[in-house]
Amino acid sequence: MSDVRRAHSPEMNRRSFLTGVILWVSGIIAAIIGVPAIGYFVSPALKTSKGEKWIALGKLGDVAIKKPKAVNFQIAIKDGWINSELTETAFIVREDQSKYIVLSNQCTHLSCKVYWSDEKQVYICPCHNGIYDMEGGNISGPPPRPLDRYKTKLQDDQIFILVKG
Amino acid sequence: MEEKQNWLQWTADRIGWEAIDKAMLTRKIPKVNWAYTLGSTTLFVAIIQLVTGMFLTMYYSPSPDHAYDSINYIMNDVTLGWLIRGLHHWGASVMVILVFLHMWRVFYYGAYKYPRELTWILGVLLLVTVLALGFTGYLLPFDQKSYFATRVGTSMAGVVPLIGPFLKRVLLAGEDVGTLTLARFYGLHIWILPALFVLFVVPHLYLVFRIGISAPPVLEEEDEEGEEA
Repeated sequence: MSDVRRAHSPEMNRRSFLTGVILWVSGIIAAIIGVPAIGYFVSPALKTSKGEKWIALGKLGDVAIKKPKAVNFQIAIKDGWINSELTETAFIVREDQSKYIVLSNQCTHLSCKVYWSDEKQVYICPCHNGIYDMEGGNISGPPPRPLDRYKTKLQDDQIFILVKG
Repeated sequence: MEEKQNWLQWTADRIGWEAIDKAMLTRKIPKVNWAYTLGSTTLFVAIIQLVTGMFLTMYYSPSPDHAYDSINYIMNDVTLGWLIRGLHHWGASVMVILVFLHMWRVFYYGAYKYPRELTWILGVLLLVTVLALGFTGYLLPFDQKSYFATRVGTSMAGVVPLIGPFLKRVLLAGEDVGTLTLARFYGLHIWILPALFVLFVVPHLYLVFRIGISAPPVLEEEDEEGEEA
């Protein structure tokens, strides 16, 4: 390379110019693949369930007072490209003739399923021994808050709960 | 060497990639033409195929019940899924075209001759691997076209003398295209064949760097700037 041309710009010669161009073009190409790939990867996380729906759980008259009743119900879910049904369980707890609550069976600690123990009169989470009383209040163990309650309504003695989906 | 940032110098001291840079990127090459970029272009597309293929496995399901629906899902429901799959789909054809162009350039200039015979042999193995990747990948959408293309392809294997019928049953994992065929084509497509590709391409590139690329064969008096590698 001649001295005249080199003197033209001491910082920028042909080699460093081409190195820069190659690095920039490589970076742009990597971004063209990389940025869509991020969107592609996180895309399912951005799809949140939109609707809410009332689901019939059964007759209030069939539930004994002070005796939580576990009831299964189905919710329609879209699992990727598969439309399927998921079976969930809720506890109907009847306090007296007219007062009742419906509890989720999902532990508020780390989402395991709790069960009702007739013997000990508590809900027990088998994962980390979270204990709840009949109304879902915390007794002991790691759960940070009481069991979640479904929004309910009563029509002709039929109990309905509001679920997502 | 220009002034380097501290972390760059720190890693360079330990890895010694100035030597790698010298051997790979700033090595001397003879005066060549654009046809000599076909190998790099093929490698570039191969990397795109590898990356987009990895991402496709996150949604694709290799079972006859789900394969087609899962690809539909990628195309219509996943953010930019059409782009990732589109790159992989068209990249596959581009890949086959490029390896042939690359091979023709090497053949035309006689670059396969001494001392580069091993590079050529590895290149032939790479060609076969790429064609096998194309053939196995073609079945994965599990639509009408891929179903019958696979029947045709495996039936061709079936007419090989003596071992043909057995070879066909091995490829299909049975008598006809089905669940097991799709599963094994998927396994071949995402694990075995890419592994073979890497296994062949690494020594292929090593030989290119070690021996250097050949100059186009021109008459002595025309060959002014060509530096023999």
